[in-house]
Amino acid sequence: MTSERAGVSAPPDLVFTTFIRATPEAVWRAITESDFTVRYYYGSTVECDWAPGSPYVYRIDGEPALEGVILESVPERRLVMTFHATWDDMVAADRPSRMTWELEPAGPGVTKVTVIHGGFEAANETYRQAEGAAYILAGLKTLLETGSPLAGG
Amino acid sequence: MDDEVFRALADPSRRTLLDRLFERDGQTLGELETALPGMTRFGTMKHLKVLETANLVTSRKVGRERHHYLNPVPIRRIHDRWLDRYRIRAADLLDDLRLSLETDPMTTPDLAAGAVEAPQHVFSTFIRATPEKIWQALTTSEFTTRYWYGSTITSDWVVGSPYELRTHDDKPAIAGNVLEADPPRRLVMTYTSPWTNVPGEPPSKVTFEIEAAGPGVQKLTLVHETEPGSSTRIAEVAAGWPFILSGLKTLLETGEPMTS
Repeated sequence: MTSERAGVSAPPDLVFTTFIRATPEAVWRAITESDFTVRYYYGSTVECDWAPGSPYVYRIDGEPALEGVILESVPERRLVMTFHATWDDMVAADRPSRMTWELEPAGPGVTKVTVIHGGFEAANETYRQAEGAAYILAGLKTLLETGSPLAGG
Repeated sequence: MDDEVFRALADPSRRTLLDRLFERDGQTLGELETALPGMTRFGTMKHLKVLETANLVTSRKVGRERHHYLNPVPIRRIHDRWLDRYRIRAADLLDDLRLSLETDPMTTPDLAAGAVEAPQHVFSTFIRATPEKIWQALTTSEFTTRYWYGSTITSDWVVGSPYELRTHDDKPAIAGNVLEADPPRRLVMTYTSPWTNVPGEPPSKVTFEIEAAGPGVQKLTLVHETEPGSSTRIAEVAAGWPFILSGLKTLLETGEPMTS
């Protein structure tokens, strides 16, 4: 059940929240550097200068799997990007959706990390597969707190 | 693509399902079944499958249930492609207005979280631990005191038995009854607390599910829900669940509490 919505509309935005025993600085690095992403983001590297307007691409085994454009970037605080997955034909046919990362200090040594995936007006398959964000966040937390990946660690 | 949409729309049962979702988006199979009296659950499923293939409906699994949402885009495309040729200008303008009003994306986090009205809140995380260890962490004070705001938890975890969570300074916090207990996979209990209870309203319900999710990893899903129409207030406590689940994960993976 979602909140009440009148008539026709897109699938609702999805919100994923976790708390990580790490500084916002460490979380930001883990989001933006391939040395980290390969160990929690489905084995992918990421290429981007993280400036607003810049393109980004995640690659799995060298093949593009996810790409888009940075819409907003406030280091250690907030990152907004368009989200166009290409890891299978079904998602690739979708129009881009939108992903937002928010980092907030939440007590001594703890950072609250929120991922909001929205803009599914023309991205049904992306929506269907959006649960992956929960897995990515869980992997990010495990990596930062234990130094080893969630799976196979 | 158009062929699939026309084929999907050709069937009156499928149009009924779309009408039902137009009235209220996000319904489960069980709810949609009632729209088609005389049809089996399997029949309803088959129709939903056709609608999904035509991209007129999208669905999402939440805990054990699948919720279905209307996708207006393909019908809109057909409208633009086929009906525009015979358009009646005024009617079309009205339709454009309606569409632009109704497809406004919900972008604010609070609305997106459904934190205000949603009768169901779902949280999932993945934990590097055995299912037995996670079960133990949910049901014994030895663990809860280190991640659940210092609280103790007491029950024999048998169906029908009561359970109680007390604060670190031994004040009553949460209580209820065990509705289902299938260690180490599924635990369902009623949930009453001074923060959620409304006199005369039924208690809310909490479900924990633990599923295998790859070697050494479990997926833990928590569903906190009220009965439809109930005014039991779970939004605020539901906002606290990610913190509790995060603490549980840290404790099991590192052996240390997340916060000191």
